[in-house]
Amino acid sequence: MSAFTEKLLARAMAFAALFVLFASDIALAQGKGHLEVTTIVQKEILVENEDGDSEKQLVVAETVIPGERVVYTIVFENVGDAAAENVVITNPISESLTYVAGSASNDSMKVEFSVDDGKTFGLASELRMVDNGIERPATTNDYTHVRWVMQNELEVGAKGSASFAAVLQ
Amino acid sequence: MKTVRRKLGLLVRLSMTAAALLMGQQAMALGTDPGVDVDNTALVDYEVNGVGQTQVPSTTASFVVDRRVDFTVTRMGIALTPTTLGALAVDSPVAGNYLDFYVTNLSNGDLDFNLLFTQLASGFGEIYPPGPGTADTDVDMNNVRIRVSSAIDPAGSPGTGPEPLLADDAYIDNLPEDRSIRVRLYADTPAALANTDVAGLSLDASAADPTGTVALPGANLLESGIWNQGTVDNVFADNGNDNAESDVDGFDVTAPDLTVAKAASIVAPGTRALPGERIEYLITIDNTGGADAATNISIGDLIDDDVTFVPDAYNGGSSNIVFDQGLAAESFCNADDAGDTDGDGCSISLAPITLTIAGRNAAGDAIDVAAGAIVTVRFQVEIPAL
Repeated sequence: MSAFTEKLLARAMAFAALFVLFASDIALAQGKGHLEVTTIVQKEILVENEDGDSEKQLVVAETVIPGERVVYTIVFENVGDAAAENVVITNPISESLTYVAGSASNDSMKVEFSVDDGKTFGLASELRMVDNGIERPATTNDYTHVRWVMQNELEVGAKGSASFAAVLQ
Repeated sequence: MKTVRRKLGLLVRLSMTAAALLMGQQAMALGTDPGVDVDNTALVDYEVNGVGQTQVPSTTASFVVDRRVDFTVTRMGIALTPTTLGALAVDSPVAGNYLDFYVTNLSNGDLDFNLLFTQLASGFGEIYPPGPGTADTDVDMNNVRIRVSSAIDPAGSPGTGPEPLLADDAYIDNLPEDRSIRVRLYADTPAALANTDVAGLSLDASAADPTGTVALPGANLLESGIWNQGTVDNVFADNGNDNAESDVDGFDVTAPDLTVAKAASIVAPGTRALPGERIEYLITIDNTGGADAATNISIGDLIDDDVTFVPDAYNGGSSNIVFDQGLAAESFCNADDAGDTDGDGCSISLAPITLTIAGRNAAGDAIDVAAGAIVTVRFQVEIPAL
């Protein structure tokens, strides 16, 4: 290989490396920000354990039919270089699903719900619905969104998760 | 009930095709339709150093709603259906000789159904305890036909749709979820069966692919065994998880059941059967069967050679056999010829003396014994004088 060719190749590689770096910068700036968030869905089934009692078990949601219960788990990680403050995870609840009471409880986050398509949020005990001019307490069937409000900062490199269960209508 | 506003919000929140959305909306109260794509995406808001950052969406977790295959077959009868020998299935003008069922779709979407029937074997058990129907003498019907009503039952009122007619289809096409449709087993009754025979039949249904052609149901649905999160799987949720449901019902055969008794009595004035005295024989024919009359009854009676037949015992000396059918007037005939030359149904042959009694009533009709009725026949013999 001639010296010239060698030089050219080295330049080309440097350019390519630069381009890759540039491309990943764009992705970071446009999409990921400083947090990485994934959601998975699993199916909750009851299985009989050795003592003959039924026990909840999470399995891959290969088949889901009406009446079955699915569990969504949202995992988030601070992949940036600064602590994230006031982290709020908002999850719409599909019309096909009914939230399972109490399933979103989380030790480190305050759990709130919306019954107005995410416009306002409140604690489960505070929400009200109006049916034909008559006010009543909201039920899990009314929930359109669930959200978790993190009480502490999410430090750099820290991970957290939130989950809730819902029944397919 | 969820508000209309929420349903509008669904357009934004769910990623599904417009067609799937409409189907899902219609069926929402009854179970989300198979094929609906249920997506979930969380949104995360946060601040860095007090400055709000761009909202971060999570990855999307999705699953496709599978087909929950569940249905029932229910007989509509509350007792065995009576049938008579040789009865044929008819739907007009008066329907008869059939068993009614309805099939209810408890799945989360439309289903077709393939239908079959089974002639039950002896000893299939009681259909309607207590009473007849224990089926120890189970028999088969002829020409069984499955017919499905032309329209589904009104919502919430299974078994109240139009009657299935002989011209209707033999399978169920696109039965919506939570709805039912009537199915009828028409059958013809064999001509030769015994009274209280039971003909048990079961209607057997299996769900089929509703997306097939309109003219015929598809093949029976199968569970693939290879589940897939992104496609519609069939999940058998019927009794036994086998995509096979059935119910049984039966016909109760009512046929004439004749008992015949013969008694003798000495005709007054004598009290003992002495030579020269007359003895009257009384033949009693009792039809203890069901609804059918026994028709064209013929009685053969061999008379002891030691006695002689009295040729003029009744009807002012002009008849020798009398019938009592429980009518106002008795009927008579004469067994006075060898070949029934007078055509009254009664004849006699000698050596040995044999009576053939197939009498006619006053109108010239054959003697019949209605169900539950008794017909008596009397004639006299004389003990020859020594």
